[in-house]
Amino acid sequence: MRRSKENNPGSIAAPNVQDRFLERCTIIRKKLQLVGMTAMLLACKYEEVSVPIVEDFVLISDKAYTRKDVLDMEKLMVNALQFNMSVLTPYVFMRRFLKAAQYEKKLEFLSFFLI
Amino acid sequence: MAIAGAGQLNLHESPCWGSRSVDCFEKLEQISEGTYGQVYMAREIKTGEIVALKKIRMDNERGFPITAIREIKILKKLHHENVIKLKESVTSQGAKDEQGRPGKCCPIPINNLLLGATKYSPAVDMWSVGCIFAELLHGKLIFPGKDEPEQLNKIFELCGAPDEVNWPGVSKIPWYNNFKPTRPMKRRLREALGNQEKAPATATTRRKGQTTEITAFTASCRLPPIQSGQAHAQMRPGPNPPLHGSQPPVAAGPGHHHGKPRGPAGGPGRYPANGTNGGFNHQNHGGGYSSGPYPPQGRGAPYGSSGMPGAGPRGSGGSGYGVGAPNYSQDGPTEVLVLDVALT
Repeated sequence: MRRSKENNPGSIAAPNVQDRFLERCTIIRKKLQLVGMTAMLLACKYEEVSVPIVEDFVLISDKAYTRKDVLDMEKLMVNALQFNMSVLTPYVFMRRFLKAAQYEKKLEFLSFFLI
Repeated sequence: MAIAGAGQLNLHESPCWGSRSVDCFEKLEQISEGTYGQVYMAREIKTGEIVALKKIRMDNERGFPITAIREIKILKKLHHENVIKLKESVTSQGAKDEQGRPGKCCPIPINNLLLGATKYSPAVDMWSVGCIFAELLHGKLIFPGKDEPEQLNKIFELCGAPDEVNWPGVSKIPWYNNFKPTRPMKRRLREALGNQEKAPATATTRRKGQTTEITAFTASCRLPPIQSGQAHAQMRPGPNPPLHGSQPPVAAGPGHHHGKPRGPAGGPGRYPANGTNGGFNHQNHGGGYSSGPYPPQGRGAPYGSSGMPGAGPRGSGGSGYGVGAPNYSQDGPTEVLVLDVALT
């Protein structure tokens, strides 16, 4: 989740996807990272133009999980969340406010660091 | 961070979603095959209910297709007699991934983007809407090209080839010279869409009206703007003599931009030749575009000046190109859609 948040609305929505899933389903601790990864995958799909491929997620988990694990978890999550992926995040407001404030790069970085 | 609490978002859910397997259904026959998967007619074994079963193909690289997620989410929220009801989503295990036919084209061809233009404007979307309307009417893809050159060719065959006369500035678009058709082609969209009689008889008269409407619709948007600032000017009918020759330019009022491009082409009486003016509008009240962007009041005067015979009061039928055609017989398995999530 510590990816650059500026220009990356997916990483802002991901924790929300994860939280809503964990609220509904109990999973074993070993799979917590898998949930996080898959939440990121789903959130990126919904929010971003270009989406990381499943293989990328397998790699960043140091191959702790397989592609099948990710896809299975994805299926479980979309069903648990009833396909409700879109959430209103601070990203949307921040973009708008920054524009209104005629922002500079420095302010932009600070803002996205804070949210 | 402050985000909507989970409980605030999904209040009314059935707990059984996605919990059942596709084995609860017996596939009867394949109805059709789309870009993203196949659709089957199936019977629910327990209840005997006939449903449509749409199989979503999983993308191996990226998992669940985002288009499917959106489709499911939206279908779940839509409740309308003309929109298929999403009843349930079921899952299936095992490698049932049947690769779809490769090279199937996107059903929404975008004329100027295919030619390499980089400016994206509302006119591009209007073109897409026109294509979708035409496909609804036609019952199949109207530009079924396997690749981009072929697709462009299909567009030119149907809509005529673009040149500096009907599309000022087209020769400056990057790939125009590469794809320029070698022989002159005439616009025959109206012939192509107007003469097919596959629809149920109940809808025929109205369909005739719609044909011309939609043809005009596609035409008026066929010439996308080179500069986005010109979007409205070019989407208004005008640059296409066969269809809009007699139409004076519409004074650009303060209305919002969705309304303007279609303004004058509406209205019963615009196509007096087909003699179906009285027929094709009723039943479309309140559907589609008929009632939305064109308030009957205050819009009448400028259009009346085009001297059409029989131009009735604008308010009587709206602009009349709601595509709903609600009379199509629906005895097929159109009531429910069950999604089959095939995991590979």
